[in-house]
Amino acid sequence: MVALKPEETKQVKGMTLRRDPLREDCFSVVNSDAELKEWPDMSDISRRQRLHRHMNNETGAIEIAAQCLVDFPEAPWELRMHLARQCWDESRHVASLYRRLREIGGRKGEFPISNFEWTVTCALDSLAARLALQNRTFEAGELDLLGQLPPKWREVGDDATAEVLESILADEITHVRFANQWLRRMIQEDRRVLLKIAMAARFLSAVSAAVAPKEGEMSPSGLPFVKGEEKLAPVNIEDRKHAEFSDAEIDQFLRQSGFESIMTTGAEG
Amino acid sequence: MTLSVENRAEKVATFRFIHVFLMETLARWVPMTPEMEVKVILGRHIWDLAQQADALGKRTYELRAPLQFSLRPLDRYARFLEEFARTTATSEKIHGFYEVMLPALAVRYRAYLDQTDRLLDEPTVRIVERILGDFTRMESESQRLLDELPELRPVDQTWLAGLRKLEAAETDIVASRPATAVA
Amino acid sequence: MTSAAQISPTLDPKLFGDAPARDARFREKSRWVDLMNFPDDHPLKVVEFFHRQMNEEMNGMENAAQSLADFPDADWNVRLSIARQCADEARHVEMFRRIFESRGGEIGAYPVLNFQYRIIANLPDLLSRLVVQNRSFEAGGIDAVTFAIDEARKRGDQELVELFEMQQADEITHVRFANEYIRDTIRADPRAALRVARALTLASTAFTEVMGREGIEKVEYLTDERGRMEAGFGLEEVKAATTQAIKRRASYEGQ
Repeated sequence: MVALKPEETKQVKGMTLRRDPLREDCFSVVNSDAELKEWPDMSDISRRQRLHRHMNNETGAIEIAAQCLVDFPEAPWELRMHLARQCWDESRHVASLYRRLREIGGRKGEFPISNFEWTVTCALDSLAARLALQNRTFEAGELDLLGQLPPKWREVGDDATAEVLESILADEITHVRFANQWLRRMIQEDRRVLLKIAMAARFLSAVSAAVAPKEGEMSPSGLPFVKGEEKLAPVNIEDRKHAEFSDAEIDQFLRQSGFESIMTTGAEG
Repeated sequence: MTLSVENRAEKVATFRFIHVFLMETLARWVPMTPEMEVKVILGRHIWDLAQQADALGKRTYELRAPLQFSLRPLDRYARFLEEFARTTATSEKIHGFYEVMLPALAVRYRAYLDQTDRLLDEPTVRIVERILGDFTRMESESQRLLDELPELRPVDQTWLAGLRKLEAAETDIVASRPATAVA
Repeated sequence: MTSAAQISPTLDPKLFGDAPARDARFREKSRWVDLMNFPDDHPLKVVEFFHRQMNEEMNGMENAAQSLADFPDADWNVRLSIARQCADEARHVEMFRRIFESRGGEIGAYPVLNFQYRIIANLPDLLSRLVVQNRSFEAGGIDAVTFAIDEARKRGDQELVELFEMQQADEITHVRFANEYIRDTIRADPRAALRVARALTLASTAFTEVMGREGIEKVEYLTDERGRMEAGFGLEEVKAATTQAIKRRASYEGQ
């Protein structure tokens, strides 16, 4: 892909990220999830906020897949078909979440939104790196979350939302699956792809650390922050390369960063 | 309440079973049917049925069942299909398949469309809509065949009505999924 | 409906199964010499060929359909390809029928052979059937069609050139999927190669019985190397087929 122009980027706490995709005026866009309003319970406002946030995340997922189609026209056609299909799936997710949001009295722009996944993923210059972050990291994380959420919604009597989430989960599995398949194939063909993935993992770690709330900081809802998922260990690939680290050593580092299953297949090829 | 992901997978897998079964039925009929024009239309429609089964089978995977998963319908319906496959007279094959089986399957597909959430399950909806479009074309091709071979027009109406009645006797044809088939 | 027993009492029942059904317009014969084999300069030569080819395509469709019916447990992808082959062969029947009738032919005017179906549908497993139908008969068809395209072009028969080119493109896909299936099957179970050899021997014996020396001597074409490569044959296999065809022709010409 062609390198990003300065006007396509933004600076957030010293990190260069992709500039936010466009949103309607009703939305208030913030730079990180830490700036979002959220409530730990399942009160009415919390339910609306959860749906609203999920809806925007799915909007971002359409945009990321679509931008991959734009930025990587030389990618294999079969992979581009998967990305196009993903655009459609994510669009349906947005529509179904928006429908549900309205049914429970919510509206677009009711809460601040963050396009964190887009700003990080679309700053990367290779398709492998984007698939590794968006599909294999963010969406795979969503799988864990979506697996747990439906019972929580059912507990408060909201079967309709639970069904929406279950349908979304089925689709997301297919997105993570095709990304895993293609990443394995790409690595088998060219082991330097591993380096791109490792650098993407390191970039995500660095951005996450930069935007993370400081000790004792309160959320915009006036509540203490819930401790986030364990962050990926920063992978200093460039310095290791300068120090003439071998492929095997980089492999070991990637394993520590959560890319073990891909590594194993890559090594077999 | 609409259909769960699991319900959808089972219904789609049942439809797939029927498409594969009908593909095999037409295939079995081809060498055993004397009229050249009939062989030709059956040969064409074998491929239609296979493509439809393939699309349904890809969808089962997306619905968290195995890839190309087929689920045999309830026994009575499966026996009805087997009985239909044993049809020997060419006119009964043509009238039975194009005037009973395809329209009846179309009714079942429309019932599915009424039941499912068209947004959440849009990939299945698209496949079903394409299949319904194919059915319309296949039925009109069978009409052209009857124009070309008018000697196939006469058919035992009692037999046809009986076939229609047997097909419609089972409203719900989906059997529960064996545990081993869960992806 | 005609029956195999009535028309071919002399063919070896171990090599030939039942004939496929045909309507009353058709007259089936057992051997190549019983057909109307017009000399090259005869005005009905081409029209008779269309009729013969139409019936051969029908055999192709019937074989593919029979395999779909007989092997429900075969891998879905190969079944899908076979189903597609049914539709392709059905189109070919229609293509040849159209050109046959447009040039004054009447269905049933000439006798036909159904040896392809009777040999292939008699084989007990899918591997053997694909080896004989797709990899042997249809691959031979690729060579024959290439020759026929050149001949039609020389005569300035553009309609026929277009028909043959379309037919050939389809046949290449049929040979290709069969080659892939055969290769995968033998890779998974090397003993399957024995079944391949047995099927080819049976088919070759049966083919000779139908065609006789007269029919085989008539073959004028060599190998379409490019078509065979596109259809998934290896370079060595293509070379071997070419050498065989040259030898075959030389042996007939030398006598």
